[in-house]
Amino acid sequence: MSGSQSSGSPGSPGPPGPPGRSALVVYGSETGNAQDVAEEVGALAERLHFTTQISELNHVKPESLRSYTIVVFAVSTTGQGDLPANARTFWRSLLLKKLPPTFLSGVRFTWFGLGDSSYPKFNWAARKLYKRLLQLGADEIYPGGEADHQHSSGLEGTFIPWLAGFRKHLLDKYPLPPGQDPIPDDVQLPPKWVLRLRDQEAASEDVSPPDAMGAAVTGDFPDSYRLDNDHRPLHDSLTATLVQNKRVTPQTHWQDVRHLILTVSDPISYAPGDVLTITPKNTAEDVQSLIEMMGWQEQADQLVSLVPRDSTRSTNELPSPPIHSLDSYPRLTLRELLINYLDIRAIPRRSFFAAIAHYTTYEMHKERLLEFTNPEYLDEFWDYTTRPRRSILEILHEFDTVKIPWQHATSTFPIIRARQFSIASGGELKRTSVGGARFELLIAIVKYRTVIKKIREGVCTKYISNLRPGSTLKIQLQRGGLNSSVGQLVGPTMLIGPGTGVAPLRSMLWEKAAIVKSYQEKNPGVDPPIEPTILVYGGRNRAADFFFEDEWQQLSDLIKLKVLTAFSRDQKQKVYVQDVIRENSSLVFNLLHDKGGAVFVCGSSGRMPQAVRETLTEAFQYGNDAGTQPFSRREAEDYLVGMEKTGRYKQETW
Amino acid sequence: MAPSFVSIDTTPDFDMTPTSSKSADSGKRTLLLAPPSIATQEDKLRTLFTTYDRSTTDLQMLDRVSAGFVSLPANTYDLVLVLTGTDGTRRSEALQLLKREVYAAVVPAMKGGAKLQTEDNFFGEAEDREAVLAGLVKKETGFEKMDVGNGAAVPLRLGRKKKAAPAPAPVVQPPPIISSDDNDLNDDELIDEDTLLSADDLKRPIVPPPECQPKAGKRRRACKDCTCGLAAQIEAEDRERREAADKSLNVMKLESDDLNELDFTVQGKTGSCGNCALGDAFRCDGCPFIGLPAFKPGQEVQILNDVAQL
Repeated sequence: MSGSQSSGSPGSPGPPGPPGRSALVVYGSETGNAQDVAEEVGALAERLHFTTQISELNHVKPESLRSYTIVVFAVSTTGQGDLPANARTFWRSLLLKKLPPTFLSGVRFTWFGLGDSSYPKFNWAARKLYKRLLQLGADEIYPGGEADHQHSSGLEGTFIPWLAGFRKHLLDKYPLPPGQDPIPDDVQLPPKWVLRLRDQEAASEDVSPPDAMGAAVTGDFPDSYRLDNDHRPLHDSLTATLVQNKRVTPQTHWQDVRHLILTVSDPISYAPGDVLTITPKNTAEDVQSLIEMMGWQEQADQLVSLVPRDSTRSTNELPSPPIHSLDSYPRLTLRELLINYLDIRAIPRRSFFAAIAHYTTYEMHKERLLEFTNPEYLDEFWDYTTRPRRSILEILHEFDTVKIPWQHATSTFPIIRARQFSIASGGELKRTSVGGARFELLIAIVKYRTVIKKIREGVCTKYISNLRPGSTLKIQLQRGGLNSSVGQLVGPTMLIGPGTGVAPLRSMLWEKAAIVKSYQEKNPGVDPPIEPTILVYGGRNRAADFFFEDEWQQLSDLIKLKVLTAFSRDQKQKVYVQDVIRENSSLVFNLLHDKGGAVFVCGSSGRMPQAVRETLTEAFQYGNDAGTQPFSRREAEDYLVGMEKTGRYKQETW
Repeated sequence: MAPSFVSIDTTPDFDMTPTSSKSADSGKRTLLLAPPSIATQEDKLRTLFTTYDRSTTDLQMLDRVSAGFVSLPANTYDLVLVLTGTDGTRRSEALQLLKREVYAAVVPAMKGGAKLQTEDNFFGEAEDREAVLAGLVKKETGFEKMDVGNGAAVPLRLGRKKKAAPAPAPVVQPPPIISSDDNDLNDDELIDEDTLLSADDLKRPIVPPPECQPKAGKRRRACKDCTCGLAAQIEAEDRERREAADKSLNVMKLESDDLNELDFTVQGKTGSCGNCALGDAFRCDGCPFIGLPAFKPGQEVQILNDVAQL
């Protein structure tokens, strides 16, 4: 691999100052897509002999951007047009008022945004960042790009053409010296971090993980339910104990929905709309099957550690390891690493095919794998992976000549990422009797069929569905996008959340109840100052998936709650939440317009929030039966936009 | 996408905070609460101060009070007037900003018996509620703060300030910050990120524009939120394909609930292309084995409950 000294500039180990040809690729990623984009951009730069660093935004300082030849930002949008959590520290440091307009002069950047056009604030995070970078004097050297999750070819549909253009730009503006060529795609870029066996003797002194037997909870659970403890030193995480894992839909119903209760010993507080993240694990069976396929039986249960491949490189040049704080995992074996960290059930990205093509010598397999990485075969790639939801494990079964060196496991497989779940508890449900925090979740277990015979299962919900109460999990608490103020909680509200979308709304309803109760305690006999709430709920059948029906009864008097329901399969004609809103348009108009109420829309992204938005606009147009002049279409639309601007229309969909 | 070159002004946009509270107890003090748009109309402001004596009158911007940027002196004002315009021209703007946070800041700054009024003498339902919640009493024109001593107003304390009174259940606490959000930067020192984008940005097309049209010869895909029926069509195709595949397998005596064995080395039972055994990545469009794992020629395949067991 003669061309592969690309990134090391081995001849000149001089000071880390601005090297002649360096690239920094930074990302703000919530679900991992922006990180994938960053990694693909990074690989491209490295192949063009840029000394390349890839990092999450929170790990870089704005002041350091200047020292790179080029900086590429890959940023997704979350919440109400916000930057992802792992970019917000950086972002806030850019928002400082005192920064002069020359603060970033000399910084040469481009950017790529990832968004979902079913959100009104499509790609706002990237656009805000772009504007702020310009305000602070940075130079956009290549026009940014934007990907849309709703695009028919997914993110790739816009990313691939953008990347091709950027590559051309780099070659034009930063030509390679005569005699030097880009590293071809079929030459593997050596991984920066590799696994090494640890000295087993010395390592034996490590503390072994605490006994898995915690407070065992008895009860009737299928054998598939296991008691599991989570030992991962995950960033900013809390150890939670699962105290309930209850199926709330009938066994006969097509969908398995779980009502989970988790407790934490610390008195953590949270607000409606906040989100809990859970990082799943792989099953022991899947990992065993991978170990056998790869022929790793000999190393599987030996202690390993993650080390830089090239220990001579200065730490400045060394990108951060693919997994953080792995050192503090108690007695890490290859098997534990596979179970806890590597996403072997992920739907692979194109870069995965490029990586594993290096690990087979069987021409037929190699050729096909490389075809899948070719943008011209995007359709076939999509038909083979995303469309049928084919996992890495299944692909390795099929391409069984691929033998990944175990040392490269962390650079070949994606890292298991955390999944977000809206918290369903609020008010008095937020605390345990002994002063700890309590979290409730409502989770639909993901199972579906594609053209692949074997039923598809969601990695995280499968992990959750088999946990026996008493198990521990590492959870992270994140602030959500609903940001309902106390004023909004006691004010008139319209809550729209079909299916498990009702979770964050339930949190709000219990929060309202707690406000009313505490007011009543202090002012006995006085009518609590609470305005009416309309909950619009939708499901398939009242009998099967009307979650928390009893609670709504219980809460309705306390907080002036009116529940409107739409059960699509309970009558011949399908009825959805938007239909119920339409039927009640004057009620809606009165609550939202006359009373100045706020709307919260939660649930699946895509069609539902769009239909709701449309129906609300219509309600503003036609719902005014007070006889005053009706809104025109334009005015109704403007009114909705106005609500959005003033935080009276909030959407949290997933 | 014209680069908007904005230098950042760090001075408060409209600073007329009480210069000192020396005259706090001499004469009647008035607090004017203005919607931000008034700041652009100097003449309007000048007229105001002909009506209200500058020396006993403070002006605050509603949005700044609402955002908690302003601390008002306690028990100081006899009149708080919301500048809705005498003809109500600024009513909607002003009232929109007259939120709970404003009451929380303003009511303690009012003397006992002080009045809260709007220029056009209008209070909507929402304002009424908030004012009452804040412990004010409705009067003919606006609201009044009860004199302490004769009948105490009961302000609804909804968290926020949790110093006094050991509340039995802390109802609202600041949201937890466990994510990496917690730098030490005060919001005060930051620009408002929402000002970075305008309404035009909302409408800005995606760059580069999406190529939704299918390319010639390429299979068409449905968008994630497909409404045109393509998604359903594709799903139906997939189902059909799966069923067709099931059927072809059954022709070869592979009942899905039977434990059947199939020897792929037997003539006529393997696809003519010879690629079937390699897996979906190599199978052709109508392959009956689509969706089944790869197998070795000669390997026994059992189909148990619709799942191939290799």
